[in-house]
Amino acid sequence: MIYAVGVNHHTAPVTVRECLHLTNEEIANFLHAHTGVLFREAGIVSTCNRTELYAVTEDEVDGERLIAELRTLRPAEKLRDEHFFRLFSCGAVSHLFKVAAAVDSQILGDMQILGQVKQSYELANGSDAVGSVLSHMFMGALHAGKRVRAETGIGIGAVSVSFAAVELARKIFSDLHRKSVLIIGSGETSALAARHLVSKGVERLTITNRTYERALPLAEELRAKVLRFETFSDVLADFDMIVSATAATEPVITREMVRVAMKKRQNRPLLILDLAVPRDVDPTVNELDNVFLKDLDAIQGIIDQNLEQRRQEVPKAEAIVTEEVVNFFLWYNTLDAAPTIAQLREKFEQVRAAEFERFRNKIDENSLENVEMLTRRIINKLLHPTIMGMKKPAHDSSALNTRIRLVRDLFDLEERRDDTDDQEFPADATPGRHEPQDRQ
Amino acid sequence: MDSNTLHFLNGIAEVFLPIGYVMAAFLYAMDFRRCESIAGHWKTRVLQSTVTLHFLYIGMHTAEYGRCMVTTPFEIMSLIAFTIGTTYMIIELRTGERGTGPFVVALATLFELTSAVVMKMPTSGDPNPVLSNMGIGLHVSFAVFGYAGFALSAVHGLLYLLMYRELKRGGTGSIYKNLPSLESLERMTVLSSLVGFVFLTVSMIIGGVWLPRIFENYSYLDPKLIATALVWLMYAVLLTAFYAMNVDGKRIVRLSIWGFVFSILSMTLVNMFLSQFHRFL
Repeated sequence: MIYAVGVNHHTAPVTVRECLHLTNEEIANFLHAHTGVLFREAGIVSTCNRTELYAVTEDEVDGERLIAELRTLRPAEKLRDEHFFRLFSCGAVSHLFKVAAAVDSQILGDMQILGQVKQSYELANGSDAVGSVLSHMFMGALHAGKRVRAETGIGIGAVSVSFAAVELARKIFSDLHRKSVLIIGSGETSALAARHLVSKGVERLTITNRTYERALPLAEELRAKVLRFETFSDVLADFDMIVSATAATEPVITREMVRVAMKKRQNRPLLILDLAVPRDVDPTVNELDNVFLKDLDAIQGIIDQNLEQRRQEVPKAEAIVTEEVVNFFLWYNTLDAAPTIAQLREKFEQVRAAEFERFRNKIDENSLENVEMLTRRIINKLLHPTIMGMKKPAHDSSALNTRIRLVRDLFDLEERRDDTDDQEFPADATPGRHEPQDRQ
Repeated sequence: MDSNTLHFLNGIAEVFLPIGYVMAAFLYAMDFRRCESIAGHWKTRVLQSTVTLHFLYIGMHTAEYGRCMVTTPFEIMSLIAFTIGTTYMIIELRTGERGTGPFVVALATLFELTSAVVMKMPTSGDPNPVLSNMGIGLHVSFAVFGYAGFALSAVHGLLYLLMYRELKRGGTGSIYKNLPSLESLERMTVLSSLVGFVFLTVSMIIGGVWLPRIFENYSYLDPKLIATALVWLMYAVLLTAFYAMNVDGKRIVRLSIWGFVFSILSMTLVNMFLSQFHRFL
């Protein structure tokens, strides 16, 4: 049985989720300790918004048992049973596919999750906890995620203030590396915006703050210049982008200051982001040619529209997820044929071995090995079409059962009570390290 | 290849070229609106195939008739479509920038459709024999490339103004999402103007050398020469303003648009009513 259990932003608040946030080492140790005992195969996705265990188990192990083991990793009072979700079979598979497709993300369409799912798979694989079922499942999920990213607009458009600021800058300037940016204020908002701009390639950053000393730590962290607050208006013309987020109650940047600056900079475009409440920049500045002023409302408007557009893409993304889940189960259902295939092979092998024994003394000693190989190859070739037919994806279990029944009747295979315990998975089904097979 | 085969192949190309351009324009527009992801996959391929077919067609046409493809309005329009399509394709391949595609490809399609549907009429008699002269053929070809450059510049200029307006009013529609940055659009506008200017300059030099030899009534005061000189001057001002005087993007793109409007109007009026010797078509 395939299970998915864990906590995520739907089931638990952040104070609870952080209790179960696992490091790579903890995940690897957990998988090593329980593979082959608690589950046949397993993988754990642990990010800031979720810690989820995906496991292929024997029948006697259920979701509750998995949750109990997971909780032993981080015994915490805050973490209670009701914080865990429990999914199995189709629900579990579908959940992983939605996670990878960023449909289940806290920030809808946050495609960072695709890389995190891939890392989780690689970690499980490195811990020898992946067999064919989990390998197919994770590969299917990654494929679904890639398709959703390529075929829908679910990841398009900035959905945070910092991202929206950079997106706006990129709509005006082609290369942020060569642009000069002034940050006014050194509070939390300014610092966040400054860090994000630097991470997106801004190299010429200057910070100014009413209290000079408070700007120094941020400037040091970001290798930025520091400017005395009293003098910034004299050099306003040097900057292509200004981010202002101070606690001032009066405008810090007036229309006249910008008009003079624009004249000095020969009317080259200037982007001003006013992230302060009350606003730092005189709103009439936006009336000046080549000046693009955006306040928090304008930026929030961009974010809201982007989020709405992402929401509109959800049905497309879900359709892709459904398609990929169906593909997974078409493959997964064929595993029901595994015991019959094993029995069929066994029966043919018995016949071959018996006949070989009967004729052994009539065969030249030197040719024994060749004859044995020949008989094996004949058996394999005869069985090949039948086995392939049984492994063919089946759209419903009754069709597959009919196929299995037919083969059992034709070859007179006896029913075994312990079929489920004796399931012969394909050669690559045993847990261990699997080469990732990217499905493009 | 014999002339019958060439004629047959040219006939096929003349049918498929407008279809190819219309398909490419449709796919670019679909992708711009984000209606169909399949459009994003096919649009560049369709345009590349169409432009390649167009290139072959120009070669086959030249081989069939033994002269440059500049002797009828049909041929010139088709050549402009090819120039615009090829220039855009090179920009897309080199920069990966696809946002301007729907507009530029639509312009190329407009020229190809005009060529195929409106101007592909039965020719009465042979084309102007002057155009069989290789020097004049080159003169006209370079002029066509030059005006195609100005057309591209004007399209990029218009897109700049659209994007500017969208940014000013805080819109987040298709224009905001898909067009490149203002700086890129400004650069494309100026670059297209520069290319057009260089071609027009070369065309004027060739014309200055060859036309007096061919036309007995050649005059430097011919209205078409004056109009061309004015167009050349406008773009010279534009390029000087950008490169030497650091004039801002908005003024530059306005100059580019007015330059193109002026060049089209002046050429149309002069060709129809005023030019004396300088009419080939």
